[in-house]
Amino acid sequence: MKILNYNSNIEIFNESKELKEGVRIPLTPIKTDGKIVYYLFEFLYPIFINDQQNILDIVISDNGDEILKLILYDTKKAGVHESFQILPKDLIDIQNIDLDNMNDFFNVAQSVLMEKNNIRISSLRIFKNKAIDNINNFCIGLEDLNFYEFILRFLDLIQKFFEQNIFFIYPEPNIYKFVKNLILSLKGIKLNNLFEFFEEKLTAFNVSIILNSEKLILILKIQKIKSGSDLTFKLYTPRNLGINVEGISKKRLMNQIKVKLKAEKVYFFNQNHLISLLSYIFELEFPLKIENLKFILQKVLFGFRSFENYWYMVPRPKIYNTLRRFLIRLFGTNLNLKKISHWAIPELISSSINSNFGLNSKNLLILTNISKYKKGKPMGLNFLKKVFRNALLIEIENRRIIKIIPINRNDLFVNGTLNNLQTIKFQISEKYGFVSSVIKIDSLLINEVINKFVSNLSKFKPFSKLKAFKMFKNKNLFNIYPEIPSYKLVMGKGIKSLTKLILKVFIDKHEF
Amino acid sequence: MDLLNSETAEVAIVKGETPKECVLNGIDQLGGISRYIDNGDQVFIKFNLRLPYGFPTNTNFDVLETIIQSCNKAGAKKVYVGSFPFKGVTIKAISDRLGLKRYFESIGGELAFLDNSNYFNMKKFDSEKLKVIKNRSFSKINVNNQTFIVPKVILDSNKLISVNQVNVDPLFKRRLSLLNSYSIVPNRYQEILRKGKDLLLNGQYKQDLISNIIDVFSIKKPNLVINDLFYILENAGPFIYKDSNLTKTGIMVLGNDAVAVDAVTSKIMNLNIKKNDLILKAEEKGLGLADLSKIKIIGENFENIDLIIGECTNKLDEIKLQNFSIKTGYLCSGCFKQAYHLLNLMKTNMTKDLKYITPNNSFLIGDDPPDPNNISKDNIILFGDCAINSTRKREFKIIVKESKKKRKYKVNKKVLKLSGCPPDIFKCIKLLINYYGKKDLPMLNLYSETVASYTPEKITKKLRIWEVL
Repeated sequence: MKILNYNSNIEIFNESKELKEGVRIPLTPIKTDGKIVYYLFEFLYPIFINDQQNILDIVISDNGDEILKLILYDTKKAGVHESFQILPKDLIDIQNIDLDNMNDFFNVAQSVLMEKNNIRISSLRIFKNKAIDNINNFCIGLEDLNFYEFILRFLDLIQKFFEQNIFFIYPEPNIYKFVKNLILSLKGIKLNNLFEFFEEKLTAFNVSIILNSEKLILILKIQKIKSGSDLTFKLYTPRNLGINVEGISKKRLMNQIKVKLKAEKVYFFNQNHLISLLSYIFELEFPLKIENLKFILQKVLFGFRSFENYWYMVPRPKIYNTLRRFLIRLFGTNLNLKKISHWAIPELISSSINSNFGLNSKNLLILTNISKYKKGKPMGLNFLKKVFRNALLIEIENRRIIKIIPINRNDLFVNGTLNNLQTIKFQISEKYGFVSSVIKIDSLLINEVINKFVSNLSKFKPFSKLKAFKMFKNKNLFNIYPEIPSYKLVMGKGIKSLTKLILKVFIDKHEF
Repeated sequence: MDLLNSETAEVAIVKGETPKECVLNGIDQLGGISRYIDNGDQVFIKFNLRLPYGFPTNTNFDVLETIIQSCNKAGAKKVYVGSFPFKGVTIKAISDRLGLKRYFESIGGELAFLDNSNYFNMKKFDSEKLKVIKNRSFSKINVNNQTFIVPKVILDSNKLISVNQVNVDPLFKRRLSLLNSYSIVPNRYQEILRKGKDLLLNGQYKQDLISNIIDVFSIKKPNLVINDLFYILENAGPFIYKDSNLTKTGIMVLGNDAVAVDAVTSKIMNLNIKKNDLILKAEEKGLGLADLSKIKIIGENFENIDLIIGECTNKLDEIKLQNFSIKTGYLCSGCFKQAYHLLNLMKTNMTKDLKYITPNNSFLIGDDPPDPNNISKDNIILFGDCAINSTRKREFKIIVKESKKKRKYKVNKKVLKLSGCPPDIFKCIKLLINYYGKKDLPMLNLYSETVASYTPEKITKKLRIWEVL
């Protein structure tokens, strides 16, 4: 209600009369300036959901044969919810609604509202009663949750919406289709488990991210104090922090924010670039094509290499220091991250996948956690069984990922025999058909890769990065059966010569 | 009933939801596996085993598994599977990279190391011992005044089954079962003996190749033939290239007569059987039936099937390579085929390199090819003995340096000769890397190192020795 009230009076609010209390972003515990919430809806809703006015929310019974509530949102601007009215339940006839094909129902609803209320709606949001119950349960104690707990709960809510088929939007925006297809393709794998898995891999960090735009600059503060569930998120504008952005340089702005928010690092991005990347991602069709994933990687790498063109960072990473790079070059290694080959790397990965695994293949990915198992010899009979964590069977058909199937531990291991990747391959092949390869990767290695090559790629720590690279040669941490040619090459070469071989492909010689 | 002597060629066209279901459907339609496999039979399954890469470079292993298990159920005493792979690659290398030996053992079959490469890594295995093993494992067969050596394990098997993954092919349009049979003999015996310009006359290379294929096929005809079209590699093949696409048809064609199976397969793929010299020659030699009116076709109605498959290009200059211009003279099928594979390999594995190398590169192939675009500036690659020999006296071979006093003639070092009739692709890759330099071809260098991981020099040497023995 606060937000609706704010939105409807936005034109009469000025700087001094703005809401002094913060408002929560709907369905989140994030309290922030009302102006930010207004901006987010004004800016993002038309891009990602619907760029026309007026929305009709319908609550229906779980079996879909009765309308329980009709709510009409009047939006003078697309996405900016200002007021609502509750309409009579029997205004629209829901008989014979086909929830998988709502075109006819939408046309009927639109014409009824035009006739009775002289209002043209642009979209429908339909909630089954169960969805409302889920939302209500979700909102209990929401304000007191920390960001980590909120994310887990929110992902669970979204997953339920799509798995139980209890929430619909018409016309379907790309983000809706993408999230729905993603969840359904995961075949029961929980999003919040995936989030937990990746979150625990991250070491402590404290970053601020400036999202620049002509309309409103947003500042995010994300902090993880220690390992575990201690993740915080805050949202500000420069005005909230007492920073005047008129005529200020990017570097100065970033330094001021670094001081104000006591951040270790400050990143500066353009909102439009991120929106463009997200829009591309949400347009992806399922089953996912490896070709499309290749383009996303290209875009991400292109963005990464455009340091100090499209994005900035404070403190400036030492790896970009010209003298340092020159000295490394003297040792025969070209490590210019501004020339990372954004097109050759995805091309190489994609053609390696195609040739090594084939255009059709089933590949078993096993995740282990060696750190939890300290006793016993690595080659012991039950070693793999004890360090096993999760397994996924990924099925590819003509370069599309058509199935991701979680595999039960009982399907993998045979009692009383030595369980290794070979025996696992035969076991799974019996049940699911010929498995091209079994890839085993340990959490420890994933930790290292994420921390050394993702979150700290720009950090100048060559020895530590080489150490992480060397971990791929440790069969307890990473192993592929059978040994595909690319893997055989990696195992057969020394780190120095392998690095030289690969860097020549990964780093461009010239600007293209 | 002895199916080999039966005059009735029976072919089943079947559809299925999965390849396994499809092949079982097909065998059922033909009367069950017991029609082909008797109790106590030793069976050899000839499948496509080319390179240590994923599907569809090789046969679909789910289909193979189904057939092996069916044979075992029918009471086969032993089921061998095998094939000779791509030239320069050993069966052991492929088996190790794909885990085939143990896999086939686990499903009731045995991988036959037809090239004896399972011995190559053993210590104290010199050429004498290899010779003894080779003599023990092969028989010499004389066909049309040509001697072939054929593994005894194939000749001694009571039944031969051919399982063929149908992909597009630059020479024959489709790789069908007749072509699959060719690799029951070592690569050395698959080479065309005639060399040189004679091959240019009237498509002599292809004619010689067809004759060879028919001769090898006639050594032992398969009892059961399966053309697996369930998934077909189209546009570029039969290996996975950048332009390749996998299309799903859901269809298989099975039968007791390889020629008939290939004829029916060609028909449903919209290929003109009358233009397929391989099938026609096989029929002419009495090795099978290609006349559809004489073939008993069961299962799906082939009139209702009309598969449109993207063909391989039949012009080398249609393979677009950045910074390369391809100039073709009069060339034989041998050089065409090898150049096709080399250019596609370059297109697939040199995406970055093609931007690095200088913009002026000419690829000359065939007898009397056109001159490069810019004689003085271009890097010139001469592919094949015909191109090398026919351009001996061409202007681009010599660089003329004029000074005030005199003219100096120097050999143009920008000319790279890829010799051979036709040239060997792996050798060509090494020569290209030497020519341009590893620095300028990082992706091709990486690819070459990957290939070297399964064709190490030590093993390649042993293979060459074995082939010559």
